[in-house]
Amino acid sequence: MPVNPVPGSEKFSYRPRPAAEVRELASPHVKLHDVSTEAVTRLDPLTYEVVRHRLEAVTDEMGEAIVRMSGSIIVTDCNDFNFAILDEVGEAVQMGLYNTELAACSDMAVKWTLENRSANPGIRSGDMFLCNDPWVGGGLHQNDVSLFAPLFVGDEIFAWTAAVAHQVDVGGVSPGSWSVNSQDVFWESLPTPPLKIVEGGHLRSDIEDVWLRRCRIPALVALDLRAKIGANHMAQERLNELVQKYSADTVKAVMRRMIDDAEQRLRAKLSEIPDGEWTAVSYQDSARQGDDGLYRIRLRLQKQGDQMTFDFTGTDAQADGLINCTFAGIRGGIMPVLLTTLCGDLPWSPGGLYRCFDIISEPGTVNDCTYPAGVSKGSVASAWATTNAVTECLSGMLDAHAEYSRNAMSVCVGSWDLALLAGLDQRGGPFVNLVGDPMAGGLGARPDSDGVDTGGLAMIPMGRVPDVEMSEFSYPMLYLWRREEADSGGPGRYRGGLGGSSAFVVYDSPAPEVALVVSGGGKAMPQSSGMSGGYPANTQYDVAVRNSNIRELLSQGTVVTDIEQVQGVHEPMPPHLETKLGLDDVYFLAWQGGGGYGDPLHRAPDAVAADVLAEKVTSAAARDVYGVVLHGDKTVDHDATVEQRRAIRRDRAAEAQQPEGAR
Amino acid sequence: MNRRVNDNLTSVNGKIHCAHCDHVLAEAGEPALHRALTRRGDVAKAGPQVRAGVPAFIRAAVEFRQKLCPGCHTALLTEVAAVDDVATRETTLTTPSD
Ligand SMILES: [Zn+2]
Repeated sequence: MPVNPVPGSEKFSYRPRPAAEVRELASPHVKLHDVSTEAVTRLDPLTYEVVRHRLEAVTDEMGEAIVRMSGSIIVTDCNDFNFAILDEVGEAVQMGLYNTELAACSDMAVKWTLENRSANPGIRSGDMFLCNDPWVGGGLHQNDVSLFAPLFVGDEIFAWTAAVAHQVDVGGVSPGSWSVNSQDVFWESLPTPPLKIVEGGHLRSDIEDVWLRRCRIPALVALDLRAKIGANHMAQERLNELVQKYSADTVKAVMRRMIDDAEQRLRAKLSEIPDGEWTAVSYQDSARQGDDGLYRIRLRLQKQGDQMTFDFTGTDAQADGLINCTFAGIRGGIMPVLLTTLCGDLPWSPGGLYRCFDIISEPGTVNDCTYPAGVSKGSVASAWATTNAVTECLSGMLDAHAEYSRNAMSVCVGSWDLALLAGLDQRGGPFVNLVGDPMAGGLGARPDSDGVDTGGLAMIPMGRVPDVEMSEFSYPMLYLWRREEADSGGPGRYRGGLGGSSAFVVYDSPAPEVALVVSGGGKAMPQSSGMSGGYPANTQYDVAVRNSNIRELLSQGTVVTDIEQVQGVHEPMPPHLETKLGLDDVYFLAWQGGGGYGDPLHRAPDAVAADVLAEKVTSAAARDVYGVVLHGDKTVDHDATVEQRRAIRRDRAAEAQQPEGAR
Repeated sequence: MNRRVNDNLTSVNGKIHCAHCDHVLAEAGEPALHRALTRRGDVAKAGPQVRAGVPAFIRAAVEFRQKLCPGCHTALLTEVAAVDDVATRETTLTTPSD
């Protein structure tokens, strides 16, 4: 798709400015609280630690608040939301442990709002802004709806609180707003730039009506809006209590020091790691329904001293589909990996961490797309693929350091396996359900340990897989199983964590069929790459068995444990498809595990035998990939294993070629 | 002085050696796997977990690719990549080892 800059859209193509520039642009219209450098220096360590931990606890409490108020399983059961506390100019001071991809760009939305809303309509105490425009920030696709609020102390903006959560439907052509036929953003849900939806403490009904009118499930989205209002209220009450107890200047000094501390400690770590360059490519198959293209994100990570550069030059041009992400997606793709691999023992203050790296990207590419490219899958398509490339490069960098190498990890569950159902539920009302089972993705293997089986997603430390019983209670579904899948972890000296699979039928819907939206890459090539010779994890595999005999099998009391047991027309699902599921259809989805680490021929044979016994690895993979031969009782045949590994090495050598120029 | 690069590679005075058999895989300044052998083939070589191509959802040809130590045939890099993509994953250390 050619890049067609649209006059009038430049205002929304935002690159976050440094704090000083935001202050200068906003200060003619709003008063912004500030503290002196001396106040930050004067801060005593005890007060710093107490207030810092209090800020961290506030983001945890915001999580509990939203879960209690929301009625959406993706929020209540999957924890697909997050929060940030930001200073007066939008520098993120503290991020929650939930979806770190989402909160990574709260700063962009707040800074944009300060620059563009301070004069008109103004920013006042009790206001809250809603935003789901990925070009502005605050989320990575239209379903990520953020709600952020200034916290006033006196007549000055002291800080901002922000909540962002995935909303199950915000309109657009396809149910769930994953417009798999999208060729540009006009096929999708309308991106909404920051809108003052709460004014002086009152939810504006005219604005709320405009917001909800687009949704297929307005009552649920209205409830989630109130949940986010509640989470912001809760955070602001706690911050007000802190300010009353310690003074505004002290709390602000803590915020400044957290940001500085995060920066300095990350820089100190980076200084210890050898300088170098690490490159990676991550692939996405298909940009929309009917498309058979392959899209690449290329990354060159350069580390020099205490500074990094993430250079995405050479990434493919934006596609005429739904997989593109904006610049917010690149930032959202980098920050989760940085937080979990390098910052486990640092304050999670993105405002400081962002100072330690530069981003080079080309507008008009799949992970820095320009308006009006389609972005409705941006979060789990190009932003996720960015995360994969960043994981490879950052982990490669960490692997070169004796101590930090233990934080390196191969790619975790290479993409989201979307199955979205919509129709009439067992109570006769409309429903939209994003099947949350792939939350149990496999984590990547590490230089000293196997990846965690069905351990979750790299970007959501607090992620959860929804309870099957809750899914069956809430939606017209009957599960045949949800389980770990053998061989789905990438083979290696350390094995990647297993992914899983689910199989279900439509059950008790008053309608003859439900809508099914399928959107998941990694079917034409694996996306969870291995490291240091480790193999990639599985390709994703989704199948609908049409006009099956499942009801007959169930009425006979047959326990179905393999999709091949079900007779009918087996229809493998392409990466993108909008279709229907009938009452006699069975749907099977198998999502990705984590990549392996090191050569599988170096894996301890007993560990392979244990994996076979636990049905994590099949005997065939043990023999052909790991070179481990087992006796009938699944113990290792050591002599045969030595010979099998020798034979695999001979085969490798026979197929190998000398490199050009190095003979 | 020796310095770790990863599980399989050690940097010795800027040269990259195989950590298992000491074979030199790169001279100073070269990407770490510059002198490794390359094995290419059908994606099925990646193991039973990879179903790529069944059915073919994309136009581009993809292949299994492995970089191997010429000395001991340890897998140093294993990937499924587009046939047309020559340079996919490289490591170059620029800090000279002490
Ligand atoms: Zn070797």
